[in-house]
Amino acid sequence: MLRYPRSVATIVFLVLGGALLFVVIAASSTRSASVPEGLDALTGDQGRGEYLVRAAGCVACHTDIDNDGKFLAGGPPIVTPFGTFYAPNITPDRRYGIGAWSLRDFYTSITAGVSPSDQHYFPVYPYTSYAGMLVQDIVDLKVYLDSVTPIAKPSAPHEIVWPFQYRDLLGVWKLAFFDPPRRGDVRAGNEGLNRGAYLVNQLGHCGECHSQRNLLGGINKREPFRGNSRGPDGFSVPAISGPEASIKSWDTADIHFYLQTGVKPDGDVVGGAMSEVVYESTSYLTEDDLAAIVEYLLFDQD
Amino acid sequence: MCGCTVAMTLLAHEGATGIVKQRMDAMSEMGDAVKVIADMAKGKSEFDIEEVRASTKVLASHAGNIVDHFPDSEESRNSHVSEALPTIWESWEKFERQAADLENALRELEKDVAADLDQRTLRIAFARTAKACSACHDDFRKPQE
Repeated sequence: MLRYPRSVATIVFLVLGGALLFVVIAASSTRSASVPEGLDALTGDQGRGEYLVRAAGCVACHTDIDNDGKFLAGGPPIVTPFGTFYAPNITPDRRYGIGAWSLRDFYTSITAGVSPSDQHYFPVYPYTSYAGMLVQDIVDLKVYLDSVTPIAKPSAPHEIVWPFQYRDLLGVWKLAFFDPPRRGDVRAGNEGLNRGAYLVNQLGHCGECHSQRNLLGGINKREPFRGNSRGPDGFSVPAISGPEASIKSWDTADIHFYLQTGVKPDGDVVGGAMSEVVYESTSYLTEDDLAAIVEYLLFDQD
Repeated sequence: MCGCTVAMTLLAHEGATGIVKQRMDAMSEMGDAVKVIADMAKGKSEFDIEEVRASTKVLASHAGNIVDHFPDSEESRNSHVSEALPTIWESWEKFERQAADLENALRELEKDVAADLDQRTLRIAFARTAKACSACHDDFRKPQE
């Protein structure tokens, strides 16, 4: 009986303390985003940006291809355990697209998942991977996106499962699960392998679908690429690393050709969400970049 | 390798009869033709443009039969071995359109391979055909493992 009041006090203290901490985190975390010095002085290359839009897989999510939607003017529904999301219009329309954004706005969106109005983005937008993107690549992307045809079409609102629609919660989510990836060389001096790692981990954001996620959608980073039984649209996504990875029985030429054409070693073709990846992204890559991806994927396989 | 593919095909199609067997066999033959071209484009087998042309012809002839291979009948819809989804008959026009897309892609491929092309050009041309296969499978075939 004597312990009772004390434990109530402890609980009250913890709840109040937790709530206060939460408010502080939620309020402050969007402001932690910073941009590198000299960003505004950089000039982008539109042609490289066009290539990067493919390499970074922007098109499949931001274009409603099945319904002949306009290029980058907003994508099809992405069904997840947290709700149904629609990638917004990223054409340079000033009202409905991102035409009014500065380079700083764009940089912060891509690397910190924070909007120009200081709101958190849902991690269905893979800033969790893009955070390690090269600054010059971001500048090139921006120049290219500014050049596409602006489309005056409002983005579809997300349909989110309670309580995830409260974007402030994402400040806490980021604290728990978003540690901006350190882009480092896998092996110093091995250009192909390091480029492959960048293409897979940052631009291609392969781990977003091919890794297991916990109940709150955080990616299991200790064992990445082990597949996800609850992938987008409810389909299972295969492992591309570890003992379960069927890709291990494929050789260099098989994976290269698959990413380029969608044809599997047995003559069947790619299906599901991966077909968008192949036909809107990897089939546009240079032979060198495909070779780099394959080198990285087969590196470190048991 | 070839014997193994045939054996697996036979196993997967066991129990299929009538139109379902016909179309499953046709799809398998298409897969085999794709593999012949793919292995050459990858450099796994010796590049022989005549064989590429012959395989393209096989694909084109089967592609022309796809719509007829999926009649709206009891057997066609409800066969246990069939991998066809009911969406075929629910979105028939889309199905027809996608089958036509494949035929067009193959006509293009036939034109491409009529000239002497290198492996890289073949890979790019071939990706268009594969995309047409994939688009239809995504909408109308049961998800594969």
